[in-house]
Amino acid sequence: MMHARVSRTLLLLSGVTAIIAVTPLAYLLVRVLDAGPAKVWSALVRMRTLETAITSVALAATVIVMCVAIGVPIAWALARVRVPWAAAWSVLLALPLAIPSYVAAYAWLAEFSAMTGFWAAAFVLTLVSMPYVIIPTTVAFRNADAGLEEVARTLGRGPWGTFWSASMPQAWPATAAGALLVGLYVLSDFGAVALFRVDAFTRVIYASYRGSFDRTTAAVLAVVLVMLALLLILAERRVRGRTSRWRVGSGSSRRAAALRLSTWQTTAVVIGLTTVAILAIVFPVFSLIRRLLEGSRRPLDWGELAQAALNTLGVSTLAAIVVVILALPVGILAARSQARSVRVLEAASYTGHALPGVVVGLSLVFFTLLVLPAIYQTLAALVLAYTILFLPKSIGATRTAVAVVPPALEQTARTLGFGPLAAWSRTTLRLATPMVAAGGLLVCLTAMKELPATLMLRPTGFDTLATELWSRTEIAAYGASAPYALALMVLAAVPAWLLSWASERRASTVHTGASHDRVPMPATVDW
Amino acid sequence: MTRVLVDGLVVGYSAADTVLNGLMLDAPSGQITAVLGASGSGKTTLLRTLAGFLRPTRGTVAFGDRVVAGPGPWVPPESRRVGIVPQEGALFPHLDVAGNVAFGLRGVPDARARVQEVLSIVGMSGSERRRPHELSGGQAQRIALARALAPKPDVVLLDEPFSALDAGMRTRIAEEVCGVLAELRTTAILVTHDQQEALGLAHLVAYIDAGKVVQAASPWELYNEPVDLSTARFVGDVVELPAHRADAAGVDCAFGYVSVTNPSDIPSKGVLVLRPEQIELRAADGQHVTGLARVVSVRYRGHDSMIQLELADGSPVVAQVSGQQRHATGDEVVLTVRGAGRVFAS
Repeated sequence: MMHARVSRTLLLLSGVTAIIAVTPLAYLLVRVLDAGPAKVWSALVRMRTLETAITSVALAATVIVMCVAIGVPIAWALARVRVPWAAAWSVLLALPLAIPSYVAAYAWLAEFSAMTGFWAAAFVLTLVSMPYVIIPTTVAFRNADAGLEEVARTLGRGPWGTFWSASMPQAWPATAAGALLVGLYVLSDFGAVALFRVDAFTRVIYASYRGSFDRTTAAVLAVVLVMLALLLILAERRVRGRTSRWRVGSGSSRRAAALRLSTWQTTAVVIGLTTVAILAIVFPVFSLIRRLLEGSRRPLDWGELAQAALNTLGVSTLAAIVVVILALPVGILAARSQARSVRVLEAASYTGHALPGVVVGLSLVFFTLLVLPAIYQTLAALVLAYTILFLPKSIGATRTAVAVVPPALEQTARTLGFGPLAAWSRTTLRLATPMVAAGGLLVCLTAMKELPATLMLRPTGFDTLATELWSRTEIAAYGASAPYALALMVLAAVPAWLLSWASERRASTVHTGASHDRVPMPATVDW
Repeated sequence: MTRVLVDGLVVGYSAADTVLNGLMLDAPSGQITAVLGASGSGKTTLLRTLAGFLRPTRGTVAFGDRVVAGPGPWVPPESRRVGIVPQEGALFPHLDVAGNVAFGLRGVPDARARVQEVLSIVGMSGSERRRPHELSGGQAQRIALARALAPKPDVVLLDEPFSALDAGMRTRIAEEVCGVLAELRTTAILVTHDQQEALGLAHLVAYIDAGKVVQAASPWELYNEPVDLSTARFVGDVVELPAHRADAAGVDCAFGYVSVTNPSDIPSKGVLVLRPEQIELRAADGQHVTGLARVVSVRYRGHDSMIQLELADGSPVVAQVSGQQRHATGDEVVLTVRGAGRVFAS
């Protein structure tokens, strides 16, 4: 069992998936190398490149600091304080994850059209990416060993000192991992950055692609951006790897009892939570609905809206199916084999995790133009982009789903007279299907909200909700944008709700060992 | 030297839902007092109240002449001068061994020397730079003890500190830890549900049930002279036989006449309690009429064996005999009682 033969067929199929996944990055590198060192060097050392890098990094750093500064106290309150409507707060504060950054940016612009620049983008990005810090930190505070805090108290630390010396160190790895995901989100974000006109990497890359003056610069910038993203991912992996070693003993840690605060303290906590919830979720929805009711000069074209919704749903579903199929061999192998070849294929298939949508868009534009002109500006190119971007989500889900099925079940089925395939499909496949399907749903949901790659790769005349919203917001036609934004929110909310419902059920029926966050959005537990 | 005095302690979640119900305890200075009880008896609640994690509704807690909890005063945990050794997994995972031990030594001038000193007391010198996840369970508990001892606390509280260790190591670590505490003449309170641990390690054992101390006595006294049937049952295996008063010093039962250690309260009808090692077995020789029994099963453990027996009237008896004696299921034997028993009203 330990050294089961790795199936040739699965390896071959995984190879195909891995090759597809690394195509955009490989092609980008080829383009850059092709341009020659002199040209690359000059693109790199231009003032513009440096400014862009500084802007992007500063934006990511600012948003990280704000997310941690606001998210950690919120997480602590959710985990440790007896607040009224505790469950409702957890859901409410996770919801912003479902709002695409450009929808949030649109909602604020629709009310305050003068909002622009670095701080506006930092503000909106903080609101939408805060759940990345809040969710894991809440879980960490909840699971923290109360015994450690009590020991700290007996050793002379007051409540505040205990928080810093015993509670925070336990939550810190989760917070840091979340903060690095926030950084990744901000670096990759196109929507908010573009709408608030901040010259970060994504906007500059998109602009130079649109302007088509110098594609080498765009490619060089894209490579630098990917490097930064990779750095964040590696750091996140390291931080997360460290936590697993921290559980000492067999884990008989006791959870802390919820803190009872005085009435005025509770009121203060509720006011704080309400303020954040209003800014992050109530305000955007309110602004959207207000715009919708106001209407626009031009009456809403229902046919156009329906067409865009259908397009969105269709292309996302198609992408989800392709992704699930491609992810299947990699996920199964990764769950069952420790072989080096499998590790390599899995890592390669995860490339999309480090690639911002803009980068995949840019690379596939070049690639389809020059290598595969047959699919240039076709649906196939768009589906390919979604596939590459969202493969990691599906592989992660498949891998976890298969890993929690004990191999002994399959072996028992074999001893009971079933052939290899029959035994596999009756045990592993049967048990893994719900989670694999959930992974597919997650891909579908994420693809529906994708903006930059869609803008760059869609066939002429093919509009999705995201592109329609974008083109209207860009010309400040806020009233006309509202129905699209609302439709996007609803479309995104339905799978989010389904997923949360499914994971609640799973958590209550199947014992999976790993106590993953039972939160509505599994976006933070990708891999 | 600090004596711990607990008087009329009531602790609960509400007036109706109390865990401790007027608990009294007097833990002598410089000795180890074990608080023994089943889960749910309130022993952990008592420990947490002593540490200051819980606030009593009524009653007082005093360490020496310092009242730390009572009608007026309330001393928070950080000012109580208590050290706590919790169950497994309570070393700070982000600090190394030295960092853990020095945690309570903020502002102490020669903290490093003190760390060295307590590490050598617990026999862990040289492990300063190791991380908690590199330690075995027993080593982790020794470090936890060192951490608790470092600031020279008045009282050390141990919360089932050995229950998570594997059986082979448990006794050794427990003896080492209690040896250190006894040598330093530290007042210590050890909470446990394991009667062997309590009897073997403590100077004084307080058996608690339903939030009250039922009996606080020396281990010998608690085992041999329990005040009631539930205490007798909790601190060891028992043989219970129906009995009635024979004279001012003993009772009659299936074994015949047995003298008792509590003659002042012999009921006319009651239960005689014996320990299994008081029952002696001889092969039946046809002459004896009382104490005839049949062997139901034998659990052989090498140094001794536990023998389940059935008396002529069908009542069960368990005997603990030397491992050198040989008995088999179905054997007819004669039972006699060594020493005196204890009788309680049924």
